[in-house]
Amino acid sequence: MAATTKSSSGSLRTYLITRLLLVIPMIWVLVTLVFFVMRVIGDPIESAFGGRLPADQIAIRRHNAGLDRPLLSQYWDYLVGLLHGDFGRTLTDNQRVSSVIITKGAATLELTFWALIVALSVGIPLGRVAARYRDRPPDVVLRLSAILAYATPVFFLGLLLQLLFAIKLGWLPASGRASTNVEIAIQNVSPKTNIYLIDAILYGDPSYVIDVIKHAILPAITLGLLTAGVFLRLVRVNVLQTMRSDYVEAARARGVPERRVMRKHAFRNAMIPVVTVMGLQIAVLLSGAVLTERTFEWQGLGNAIADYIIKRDYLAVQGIVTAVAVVVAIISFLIDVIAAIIDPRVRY
Amino acid sequence: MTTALPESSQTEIVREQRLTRIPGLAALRATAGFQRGMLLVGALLVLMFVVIAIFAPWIAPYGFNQNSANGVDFPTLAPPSAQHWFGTTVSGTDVFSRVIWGARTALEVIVLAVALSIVVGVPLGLISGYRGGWLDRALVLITDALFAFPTLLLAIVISIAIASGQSSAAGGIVSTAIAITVVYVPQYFRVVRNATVAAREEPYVEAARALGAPPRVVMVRYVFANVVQTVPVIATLNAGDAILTLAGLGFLGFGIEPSSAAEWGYDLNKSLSDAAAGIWWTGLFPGLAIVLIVLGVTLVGESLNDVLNPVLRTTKLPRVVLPRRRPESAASS
Amino acid sequence: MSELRRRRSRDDQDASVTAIEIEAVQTGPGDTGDILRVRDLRIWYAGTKGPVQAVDGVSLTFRPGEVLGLVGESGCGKSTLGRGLMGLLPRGAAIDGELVFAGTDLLRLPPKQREKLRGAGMGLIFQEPMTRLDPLMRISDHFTEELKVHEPGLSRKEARERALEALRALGIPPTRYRNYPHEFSGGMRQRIMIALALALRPKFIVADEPTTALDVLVEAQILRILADIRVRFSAAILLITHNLGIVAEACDRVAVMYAGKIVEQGPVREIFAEPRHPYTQALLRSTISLTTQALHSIPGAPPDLVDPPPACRFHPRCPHAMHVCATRQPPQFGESGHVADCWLLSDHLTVADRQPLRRAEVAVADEA
Repeated sequence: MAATTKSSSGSLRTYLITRLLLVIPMIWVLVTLVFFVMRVIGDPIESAFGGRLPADQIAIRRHNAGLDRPLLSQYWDYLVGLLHGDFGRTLTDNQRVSSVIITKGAATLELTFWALIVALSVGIPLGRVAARYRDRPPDVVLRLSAILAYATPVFFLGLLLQLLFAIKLGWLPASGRASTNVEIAIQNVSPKTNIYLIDAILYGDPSYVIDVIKHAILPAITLGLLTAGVFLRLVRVNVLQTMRSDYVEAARARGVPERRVMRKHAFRNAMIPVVTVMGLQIAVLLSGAVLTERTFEWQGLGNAIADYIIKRDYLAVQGIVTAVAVVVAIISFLIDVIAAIIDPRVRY
Repeated sequence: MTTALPESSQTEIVREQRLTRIPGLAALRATAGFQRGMLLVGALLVLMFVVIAIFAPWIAPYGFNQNSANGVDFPTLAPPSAQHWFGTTVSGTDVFSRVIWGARTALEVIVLAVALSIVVGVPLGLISGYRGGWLDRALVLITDALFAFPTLLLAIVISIAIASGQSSAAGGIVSTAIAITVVYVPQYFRVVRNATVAAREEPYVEAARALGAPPRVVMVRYVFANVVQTVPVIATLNAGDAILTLAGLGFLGFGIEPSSAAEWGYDLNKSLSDAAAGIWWTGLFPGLAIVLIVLGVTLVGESLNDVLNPVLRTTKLPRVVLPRRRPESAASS
Repeated sequence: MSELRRRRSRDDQDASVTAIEIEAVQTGPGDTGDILRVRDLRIWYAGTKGPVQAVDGVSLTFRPGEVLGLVGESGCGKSTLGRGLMGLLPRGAAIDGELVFAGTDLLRLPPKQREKLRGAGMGLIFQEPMTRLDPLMRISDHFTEELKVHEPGLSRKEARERALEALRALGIPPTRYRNYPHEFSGGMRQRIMIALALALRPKFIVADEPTTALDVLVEAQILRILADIRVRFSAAILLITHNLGIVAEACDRVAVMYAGKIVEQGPVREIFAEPRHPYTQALLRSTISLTTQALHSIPGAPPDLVDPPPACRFHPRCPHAMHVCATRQPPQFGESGHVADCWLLSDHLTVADRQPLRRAEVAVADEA
């Protein structure tokens, strides 16, 4: 397409800058909330080590972690640290939280990505079909399926899929990201992304790539189907609304064939609110990711956070939750960007 | 041509008019097919759930942690049988009883959480939406931030916070309910606030203020009455989500203490290790229970939503058949 | 006659350019020159309380270069008629009668062919221009879409030239060709809509209250454009409006519609000078001018089209209603130029027929 006129791109830029500036307060609110909530929990060192270490050891650790300083200066240090990418250190295994986030986060990213692919490729086309056959059998069946998908807890679906495909039929593995030998082998790949699919491809052995894919199928479907149901209903509602709009009627009056009217006019306009909701669905996907990782022993951030909570390593928890908050805010901004690109009215 | 109608039909007409004045009821009667079916099935499921939850002590054959009766231990991991309809778990407890008791736990937590959310979220939304100003902006910022955050993680964080505050209340029904409340208050707040802001601009509100009605009267009488219509829909859809969150918390081990109550999510967690051995009954039944109740609540919420949204409402319209022309009624050209 | 079933044909790939496959259908004698002939058209659509008899036996003739105004109150069926002529009926509606466009019986045409006619042979200009353009598509996209759909052999350059020409004729400069709809004002959007409707030089245009949503200055421009169209393209125009002023200014002939039927039609000047149907008389009387001393309105309310009054549908509100008006549907009276459906114009009524309808009966019918 030819270049946009000068005024359009100028206002797009201003719009994006405005949105970016709004993201910052959101991050700040979340980060602050996380900090103070975690402090309510009480002394993290005490919780983690109380009763297991002598009192003076605890005092030393507290001092090293800076926990004996006034609350507000701790808060300030925390904020400053975040700006430098320092999310603190874990208590129990003494790693930099940021490195945990990067390594485990890549795993969660991979899972969420596949789940989103499943959700979009199942939910959106089926939503269109449902709108097309409104109130007729295909629509009824699809809507019921979507509601059923929503009502099924992620871990229950995971359990059922495991029982069927892994235990009963033996077609797919029940847990893990890759078979042990594969996992060990691709650790030595350089550059290591920790996204197993990429690493396996870089490693070069096609059977390894297939192994990784096989391990990803059940978790991706489990996490993806739930969101697919949401997209299905959303697309359906919005297409039904756009189908009745004035510009659709006008297009029909010009003799545009029905199929094209549905595709180019009704459907494209219906996608705008879908994109916005997709942003919110990322949050749902992240919640679901925690549960899915637990179910399939997928070593991602969700699994890690659950482990740290059990170990009462609240500094680690704080760091990870903060990271999640930042990610959520950034994704929300990205969704705004996409919405602005798709819908020219938004920029004004 | 008589003009006076007999007494009985007059009262009938009046009653008919009164019924249709209840918002949505007229629309409800006009629904057809799938939507009506959805509503009925959903309502039935919810009713069943509530009845089971309330009458749990009488319906469940055993206690939720009971693993023996009359001095005889229950078998562990036994498949479904006449004595144990849904089988037993690894610690010998009866799955059927645990499912029944789990219903009660879920009902208690959800009713409490939804009630608290409404009591906190709705007035806050009303006041914030009506007053506006910096309070409104601050609240909107905070709730938007919370709203975008993964609910489960938030619930985990809150429930840890509550639990660590008073360790004795850890894993209790109340503390879990509070955690769920905190997670969902932003939703109620947001919807009510937006509806209030929209209603505030309506001409009839402006007219009331022009006539000198004090703000509180305006809020309650005009704005609230309209805004409150949206609450039942959110509450039902929300209840479903809350049940899933409760189960999620239980699954991860941050929900109700196993000794204080039965909870379906916790049972599902325990059943994961059973699955490797091909044991299906410890997970299938609690899971199905969750699916059915969330399904019921969601069906009710969805059909309410459809009914109130004219675009989605399906009304049964019979196909038009043109009668054959009668010679006298045809216009000559 | 129920809706024609959609036929899944592979017409899309057929390289049918401007030529439309027309089924030769027997047409009546002596109608060379008529663009569109409507005879006894009925359009009933589905309503919650029963079928709505929106158009119930309408006959009209459209000649090239002629503007026919269609006036009536809200809810009399004029919009349904306009849509029905285009073939844009709501779900579950039924249509029958005779609808012949350039020798083709439209009611027996398969849906795909009907679709091809829309835009190319028959155009529609809507009332509310603000929402009639796809917000995600530039104006250029709207034009290329329409031109490509009807004339697939057109090259990009040719399509662009045709579009710019159409826009230029309506006062939209080429520099704005690639703008989005929301960048235009209401008046400009209406002009774009008209340009889109004209791009393929249709022979018949329905203008459904094109100026109702616009201010009077823009209205004057639009009416001038319509006058221009009829001269330049010798198209036949159906101008639907409730505004008698527009009729006087812009129309050659006018048809007055009431409760799904045409009660009077004829040349504008004659109708205004000598209205024959009581409803037309009441309409004219109720218009306001600088010399108006008192306000006249028609007592009662427009009838329910699900259960319309028997025989003459205007009889409950007619000041001259007679006994026959409530029992038998009036036939058409008058010469072929100016006709009205009213028993008052008949010479063959009995004394019993001519008994005025009792006021009490009228009052009760009022409340019904």
